[in-house]
Amino acid sequence: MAPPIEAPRWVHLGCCGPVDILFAKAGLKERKRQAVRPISPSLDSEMDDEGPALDESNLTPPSPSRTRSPDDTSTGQQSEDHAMEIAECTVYNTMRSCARAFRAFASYDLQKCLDELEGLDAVQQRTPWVMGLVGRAEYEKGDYAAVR
Amino acid sequence: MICVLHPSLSDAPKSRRAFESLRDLDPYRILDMEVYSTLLWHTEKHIDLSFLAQELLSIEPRSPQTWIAIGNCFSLQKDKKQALTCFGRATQLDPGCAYAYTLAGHELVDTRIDQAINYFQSGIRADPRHYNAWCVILHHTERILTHATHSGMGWVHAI
Repeated sequence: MAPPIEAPRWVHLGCCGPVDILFAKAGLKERKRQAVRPISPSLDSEMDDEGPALDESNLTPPSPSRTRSPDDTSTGQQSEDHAMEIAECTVYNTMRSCARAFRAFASYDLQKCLDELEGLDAVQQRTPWVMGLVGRAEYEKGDYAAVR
Repeated sequence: MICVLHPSLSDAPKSRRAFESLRDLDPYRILDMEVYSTLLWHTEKHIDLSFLAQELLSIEPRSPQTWIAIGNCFSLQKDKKQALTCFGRATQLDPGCAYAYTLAGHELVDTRIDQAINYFQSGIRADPRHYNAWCVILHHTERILTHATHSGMGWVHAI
């Protein structure tokens, strides 16, 4: 009895089509990046908005995979992928800062909360949520300090 | 009481600036407006507080923040009865609104200490980390203890 034939990698990944055979040797990460590619054009305008803020934040977008993919021949797609990664990093960093600020606020560490909100980029600082939190933190800073 | 009636207002201008730009940015915002109304109460800005209360009432009459702002407005005009009604309505709209209980307690703390204590207790029950209510209780410990010994209230052991 013949041993069972091992299915190629692209079958496990749920892909089909001749192009996928070319990518079968690439890692899972490459597959994910392929999957998100179709939605990237709709995010272009958002990335443009967040572009100037990237220099301020200390994000380090993972980019070594760009050099590892021999199948990616189109440089336009490469830069698009890279921009997507940068956009994701920006969103995550912003969310992390907001969460840290709110956590500091909830534990009445108001100066830390204000410092965290100061660290956000200018576009985010002009959002109602941040302004409301700044107002409350500034108010309670004096109040809470007096209570203590 | 000193801390609540006369908080350190060194940060009030900054806070007020933030709230003003917040209202420029989002004039229909209801959240956080109870803090702004209390800030205006502390700084005794009658006109701004009345305007804020009117606006909130026209935007959303069913939110506790609106009624807290209206209550603060009456409180600034020394109309304690009306203020109490408004804070009571805020607690009816949101029984978990600790701030409304505390402000209602503030209105009564000089005249009816027993009712004020009930309000502060309700506030702490709604939010155990609500420091304003704890602060008032601590500052009135002596009066509260005197009242408790006279009326034989058992709850004082809880403090």
